[in-house]
Amino acid sequence: MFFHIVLERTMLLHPRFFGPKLRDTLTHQLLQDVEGRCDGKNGFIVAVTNVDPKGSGEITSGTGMVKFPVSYNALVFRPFKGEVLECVVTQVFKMGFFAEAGPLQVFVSNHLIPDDLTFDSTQEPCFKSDTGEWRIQKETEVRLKIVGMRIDATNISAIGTIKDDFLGEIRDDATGT
Amino acid sequence: MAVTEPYRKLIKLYARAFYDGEMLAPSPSDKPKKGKSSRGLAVVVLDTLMRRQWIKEEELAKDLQLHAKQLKKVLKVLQDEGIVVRDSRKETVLRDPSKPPRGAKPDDVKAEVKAEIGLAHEPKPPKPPGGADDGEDEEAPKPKYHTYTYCSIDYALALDVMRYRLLRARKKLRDEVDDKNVVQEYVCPGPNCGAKYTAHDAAALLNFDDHELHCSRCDTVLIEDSADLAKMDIGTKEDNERRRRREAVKDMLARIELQIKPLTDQLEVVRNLPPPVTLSLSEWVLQNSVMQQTLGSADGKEDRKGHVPTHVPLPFMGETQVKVEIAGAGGAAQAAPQEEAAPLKQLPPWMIRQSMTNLTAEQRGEYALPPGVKEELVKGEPKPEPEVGQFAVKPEPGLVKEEPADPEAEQRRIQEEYAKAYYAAYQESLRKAQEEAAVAAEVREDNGVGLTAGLEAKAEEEGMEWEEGPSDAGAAGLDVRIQEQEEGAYDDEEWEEGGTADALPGQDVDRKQTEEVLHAEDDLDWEEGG
Repeated sequence: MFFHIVLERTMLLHPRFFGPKLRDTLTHQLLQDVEGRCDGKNGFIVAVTNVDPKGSGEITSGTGMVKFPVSYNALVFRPFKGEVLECVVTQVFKMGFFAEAGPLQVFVSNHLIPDDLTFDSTQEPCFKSDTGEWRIQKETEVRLKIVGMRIDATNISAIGTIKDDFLGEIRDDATGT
Repeated sequence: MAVTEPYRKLIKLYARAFYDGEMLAPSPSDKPKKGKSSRGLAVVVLDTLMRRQWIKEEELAKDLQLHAKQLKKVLKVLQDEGIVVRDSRKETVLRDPSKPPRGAKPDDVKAEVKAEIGLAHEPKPPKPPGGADDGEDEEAPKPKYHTYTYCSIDYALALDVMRYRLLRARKKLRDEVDDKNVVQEYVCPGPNCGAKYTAHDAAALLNFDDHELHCSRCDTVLIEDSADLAKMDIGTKEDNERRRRREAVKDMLARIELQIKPLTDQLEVVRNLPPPVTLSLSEWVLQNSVMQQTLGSADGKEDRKGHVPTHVPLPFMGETQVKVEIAGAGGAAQAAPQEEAAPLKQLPPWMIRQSMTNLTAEQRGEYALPPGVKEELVKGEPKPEPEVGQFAVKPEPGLVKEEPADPEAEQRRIQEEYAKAYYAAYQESLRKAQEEAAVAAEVREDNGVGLTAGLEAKAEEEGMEWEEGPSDAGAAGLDVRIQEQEEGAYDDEEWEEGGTADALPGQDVDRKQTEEVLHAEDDLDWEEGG
């Protein structure tokens, strides 16, 4: 799920950036620091929409660096258990497949793949139905449901299932499996 | 405390439900040996344990006619499973001089146990009778400590473990049926790895060469962890494996429910019954001390026959109780009488300052002692050079005042006077020492050159030698000359008093002759040297 939230951060700025473009530098450095990062609480920070330095900086004794408290608006992607996502399959192997929803990587183990889809590695590795109607291979778009998540300080790994109604391969001409 | 019947029944059912199989083959790598089956062993052990409380493992082994090692293994398993508690305790083993030798058949259980233990723990082999070391055996037997392990059933713990176990078993099967175990687990089949991973680790474990999950430790290809269920029920892998497995698991769950029905019923029965209290070993020993005493009196009969009781339990003094009191109103009130009671400690002199006015005489080290003792104390002060301390002159008793007005000043004055007297005595002693050294040098000289008046008797004895001496005069003369050169400094001083060496008045004919000979040689030597 995506959220637009206000976050805060204390930036450390080197004295050489002091000057007329201090704010620009601050913004630029903030974007560099936080965009694309993941933290356990808020999920993936997809984009920073607004930067608002709060107050004046404070020179730290000893180093000469300046601490700027900055608040910013950010678009974050926070996956939840039970959430249904649309992903792109990146890798298929015997034990299951990996799919990506933006920054989030989801693993679907073969237990969570419908029983009528079997692994086939004769050509490109894929899970396909006996009739050949359904085929999950690399670059296939799938709809899956997150059933398990592990949130580290810097990463989120998720486990998905396509073993439910309306999950699985997404086709333009069909409304689901 | 008597174990209630429902709990006995529960443990019996539990043992038969879960511990009916092989006990001592925990890993498949252990090859089962013929004739060493441990099938149903736990049931027997638990049934026996149920009729007792704490029991020594050796005795249990004897009762069950099992090998102690085998029993220990079973008990270890049961301990790990949370049914049995084990505890060890030190007891004295009195070494019995009339102990039967190794091959002899022991009379009673205790003797046998002791023999086993003794053999296992004795560093020295049994001494041959009539050997040289027999005297040692004749001495009173020394108490020897040995640790005995006791075991007992912990009903409360067993009940909890049982409930949890059933819960987990059912949950696992139900999850399998409902496909709820979404986080697939993988296990490393490596021979000595056995690492477990979950599907969360899959991204890190995936090998891009063969598209398999590899163990991060030993690089073996991982397998799915539900293999145990699959192995049991599924014949072919390809043929709709998961659907069949689910059927099988459903069936298994039904069968399990049916089979453990008596156990679950019994669990319902004991739900509202308090489990039998399992005492800790020390509590049990305390409780049974009366029994132990009666046992001890039974052993007393043997004592008369010359035997010594083999096991003397250590007296149990009760649980250690530590009482911590925070220093507060109550604590201070209690501490005060203690301070009064304890004598004040003497402060070292270097710690006493002028500002410390509230010190008592005891703290200053001034005890109200009779004058004689006080002098002793003063004399007893450390001396700077203990090796010449024998010459030190003790200060006169009159120098020490009986009742000093200002204790500090008085002390200082005493010390100064003592120091003066001491240094005077030391100088005196130095002078004496010099004089004595001079005398000693004289004596040495005389011993080397010839003989002094004080040593006439000796000289007479040695005179014979000296008369013969000139035969090897060369060597003797050489020795003398060397000594003279060495002690020349002394010679000059000392010989002035009694005249020169040449002018020394001879008192003995023998000596004179010897001297003449020696001097003749001396003169020669000196001339040569000159």
